[in-house]
Amino acid sequence: MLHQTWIQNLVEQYAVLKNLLHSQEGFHILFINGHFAGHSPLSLPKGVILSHLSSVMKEHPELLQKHLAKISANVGPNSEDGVFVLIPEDTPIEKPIFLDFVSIPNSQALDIRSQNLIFMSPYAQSSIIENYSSLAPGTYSTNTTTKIVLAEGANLDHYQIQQEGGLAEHRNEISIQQNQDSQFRSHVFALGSGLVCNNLQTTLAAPGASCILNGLFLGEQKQRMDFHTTIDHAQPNCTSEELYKGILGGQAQGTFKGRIIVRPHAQKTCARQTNKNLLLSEEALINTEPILEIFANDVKCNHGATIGRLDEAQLFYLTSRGIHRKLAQQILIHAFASDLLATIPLNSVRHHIQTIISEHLAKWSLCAEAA
Amino acid sequence: MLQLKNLHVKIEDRTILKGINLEINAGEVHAIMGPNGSGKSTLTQIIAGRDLYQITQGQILFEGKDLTPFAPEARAQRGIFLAFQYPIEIPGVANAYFLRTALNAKRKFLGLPEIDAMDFLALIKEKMSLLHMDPSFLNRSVNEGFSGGEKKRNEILQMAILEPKLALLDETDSGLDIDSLKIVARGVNTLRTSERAILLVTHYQRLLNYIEPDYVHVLSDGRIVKSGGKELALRLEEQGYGWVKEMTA
Repeated sequence: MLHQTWIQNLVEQYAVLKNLLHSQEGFHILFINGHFAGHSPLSLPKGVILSHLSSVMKEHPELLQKHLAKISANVGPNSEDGVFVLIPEDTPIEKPIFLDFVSIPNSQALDIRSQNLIFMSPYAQSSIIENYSSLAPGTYSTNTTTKIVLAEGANLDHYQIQQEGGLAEHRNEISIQQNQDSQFRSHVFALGSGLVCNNLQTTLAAPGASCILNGLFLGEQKQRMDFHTTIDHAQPNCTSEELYKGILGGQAQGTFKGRIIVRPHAQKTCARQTNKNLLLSEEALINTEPILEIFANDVKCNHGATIGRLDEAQLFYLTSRGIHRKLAQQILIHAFASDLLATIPLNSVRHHIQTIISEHLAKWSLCAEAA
Repeated sequence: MLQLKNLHVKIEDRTILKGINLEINAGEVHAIMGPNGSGKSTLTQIIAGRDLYQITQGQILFEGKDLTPFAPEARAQRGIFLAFQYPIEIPGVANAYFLRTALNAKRKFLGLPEIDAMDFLALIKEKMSLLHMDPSFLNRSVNEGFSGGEKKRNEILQMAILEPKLALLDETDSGLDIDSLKIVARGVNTLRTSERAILLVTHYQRLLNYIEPDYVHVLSDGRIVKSGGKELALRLEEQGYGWVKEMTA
């Protein structure tokens, strides 16, 4: 009861929470400081489960155990709470599913831990958006793990949008198990937090599986942003395509470490990795490290990395048309990110991310004069 | 409108312009001709405010004001426009957005409200038909994958939208086939008014058959070595630049 009152008070205080809980735009499940806080009212298609772990443990214990066995994971009474998603066989879900993790740091040290489990049954199809945000400035840390299983022919667009406050630390581990002909598309947008450590690992565990990993990170001041990805081509005839872009200003530092493993019998693998970075100040720093471990002999793999700054010729062209230098810089930064934004199939999510990026860039001083 | 007084310009340690004197009034079209490396492009870029170049002596006055302290955007807002010899490609920025942002920057400077989206569309369609441009240009990225002719038309389109007081056309004829040249020239001639000054930079007399200049200047080794009427261009076409160079040697 105490918990209910606490949530009600917060919902009264923050309109954004009320909006999430009343949203008709998709299916929302809300966590505040790691605690389950409610659902939006839309009713889910038959057979879909979107709930928090502790409730699933009570209501569907066998079902939970059955699925946990698939990933040899455990959920005990003392485990962290989080979201459990099950999309049943042959079910396309038209509206997106939002997992909203909202933090409201208070005077106590806040250490938010959560684990999410997403099970896509054969030929299920869905878009799931993990959204991490802060409603107040303050120091806290978020540690989250997400385990995803895509059964045969399943199709998932998975988004991770991090827009936490500058004093937050965000650590995230995602592991994905992909079965035959499954398609996984990851869209990572790291647009906040003083520290971001992302670790994403997907295993293409049966022939015909494919993944697309897209990521954009935007850092300034003293932000640290690390992205480690591993794509394990364990079986033949799988494809992976990865594009990560970093935009760093101030004294921000970032790392992209992209590992691709092609196992000995994973013939006819097709893997492509690209990492492009834009540095906006003298002191910003990026480390980019592609790691390709290829043990098969009939594969197509390539990788490339670039680090650059804003192009003076492009800036002159824009300013010579009367566009203020700062706006010209913003336009070029948006342009740098534009191909990643264009890959977002959901319009509302794309606009949301564009807005966040614009808000950030408007606050940045950027480089007044480039060298 | 534009006065260049004893203008000396260098890039790094190399002096490119060595004392240019030129005055251009409203309504006039001036052509600057000259061999490769004579400093023609430098002249247009320095007026537009490119900071690669440095003025070591002399002045550029626009409407009586020294341009030196003005950034490129401030010059553009005051009515200076440079049509680039090599228009820059900007992947990821749609042409329509670029044009509207540029127009609104100028409107803001003039104290006018931003142009309404529908009004802008009407305006741009009218100007595009003048230059025989397909509406699909609007959604393409700025100059990306454009042919040489398309890029040059896009420059004149920008000029038509921004309606500058002074237009600097840097080798707008280069890379154009004869049909595109006619279209571009017609576009420029439509924009020729008694309030607007145009400075054309070109290698060849060909462009001047379509855009007739009032004055022709020959630039050689950073100096204007000869000025005259449009007949000067014809003589250059017949005899090459050799005689001018000899004359100044």
